[in-house]
Formats: sequence, structure tokens, C-alpha cells
Amino acid sequence: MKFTDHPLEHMLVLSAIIFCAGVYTILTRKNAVSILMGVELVLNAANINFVAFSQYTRIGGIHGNIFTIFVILLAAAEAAVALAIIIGMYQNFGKVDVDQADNMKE
Amino acid sequence: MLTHRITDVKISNESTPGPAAFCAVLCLLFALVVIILPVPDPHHNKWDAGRGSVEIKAGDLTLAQYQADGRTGLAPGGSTFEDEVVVAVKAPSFKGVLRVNVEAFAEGEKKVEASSPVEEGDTTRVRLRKLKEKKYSWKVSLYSGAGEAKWMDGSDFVVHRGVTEPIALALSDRYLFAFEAISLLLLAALVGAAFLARKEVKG
Repeated sequence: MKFTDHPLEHMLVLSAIIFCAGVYTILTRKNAVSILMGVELVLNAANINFVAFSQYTRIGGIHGNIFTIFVILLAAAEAAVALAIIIGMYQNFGKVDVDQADNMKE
Repeated sequence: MLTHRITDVKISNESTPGPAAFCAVLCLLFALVVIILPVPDPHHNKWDAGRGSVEIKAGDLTLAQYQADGRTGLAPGGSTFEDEVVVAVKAPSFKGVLRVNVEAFAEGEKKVEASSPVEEGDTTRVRLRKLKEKKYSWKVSLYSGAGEAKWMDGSDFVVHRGVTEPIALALSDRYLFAFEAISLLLLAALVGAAFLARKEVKG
């Protein structure tokens, strides 16, 4: 079975569901690692859209796939920095609850 | 901070998820409505970037090339990853025409021929099969049964097997600057992460 045997709409619905799960996670969780996971879900939803559109409407070629590679790289950089910040939070507060990290308010 | 405000007003995690869930469901509904909107023309993929990007004019004829599914456009010089391409020939009238012939040429390969009887309506589709991993250009003729048909130049496309080669070519050519910029960004992220996560040594 090929990727294109499924209609594009199936991929878009999957992507929309993953995106909304990510948004929900970002908005409701207070644990920094969970929020990071939500951001990754949002990025992966965007990646699915890029690949699906690239595969189904590949008028110009494979630009969608290239963009996906860049998004994965950016997600890796973002995860590295975010995890480092989370380690810093843990060292300072002993928890990774984002509600605790409100020092900049003061 | 948005996260705080929204999570602060939610009733509880167990019972009602609150405004955050409402936002997420609203996002989902909006996306579903956009995705499921009806397609105006069944022969045209509603997600394509317009017919103008795949159609070319050859005299009275309007020629277009499509991917193997027959719906997804293939721009002149565009890439396909399957061994079939559909050529659509649109004419004001196919009166007197029996068949539409298409020949595709690639360097160092035998030409690929295909023909199709004229279909009802103003468009006839011809499927080029068993294409090799080459750059093809094609031409088209309308056969009316008498004399030699006049050939008209069509368009061209590239057949790929797998996406590794085109991705490598794109990264080393068109996206070279972005590729290098990303490598610097990753390096900066690595150094930044190491700096942020370092342990304070007292004394």
C-alpha cells in the first residue's frame, strides 16, 4: 500500500488532531517537560502537513520534505535548549513546575 | 503568561478541562471544516496550486501533465516518484480526431509511446507507463486517420525512484545556505544547552 492510496484529507485530519492535542497539552500542563512534549506534538503536526502536501501536490518537487528536515533540526535545537532550561529549573527550584518559575515577574 | 491564566481558571483536571480544552476543540473543528470543504471539480485536486502552474498552451490545445493519480498536477520540469504520468489534452473540439498520441523522450532511452481514443468532453487523458529514472520531454499529436499527424511540443518532467537523491541535490544546491545556517544554529543550541545546564561550582 502506498502513501498516496489514502486521501490527503486523512493526513490533514490526523495532523489537525495531533496539533490540537499539542495545543491542549501546552495550555493545561504545568510540568515543563509535558509542555515541551506539547510543543513537539505541534511541530510534528506541521511536519505531517508538509510531507502530505509535498506527496500529494508535489508540483514543484520535494520542497515539503526539505522543510520537514529543517523543522526536525529546529525541533532538536529547541529541545536541547528547553531541556537545559528545565535542568536549570530543577537545580534552582527542585521541581520542573512552570508556576514556580515566576522570578521574572518580580 | 497565557498558560498560567488559562490553567488558573480551569475547574479541575478530572472534571472539566476548561477553556484550554475549548480552545483545542475549536482549533480542531476549524481545521476539520477547512479540510472537508467540498471540491468544486472532481478532476482537479483542490489543494493544487492552480491550473495555471501545470497547463501549457500549444496552438488551440491546452496541455497538462499530472501525477499517476491523474489529479495531482506536475509542473513543467517537476518531479514524479512513480513510473507513470498522465498527459491531459484539452481542445476546443475533437471533431474528426480518432486518437490522441503522446511520445516521451529521455536521453539514452527508448521513447515511450502511448495513445488513447478521444474521450467525451473537451479533455482526453493519455497515460505514459513504464517510465525510467530519467528526465523526459514529451510531445503530442491528434490522429484523424488521414495523413501524418502534426506533433506539438508538450512539457517535461523528471522521474525519481525514492526521494534520497532529490533531497540531497536540493540540500546541496537551492537550500545550501539554509542547511549551513541550521548547522550553525545547532552548534549554538548545543553550546547554549551545555552552558545553561552546567553545574555551579562553589568556592
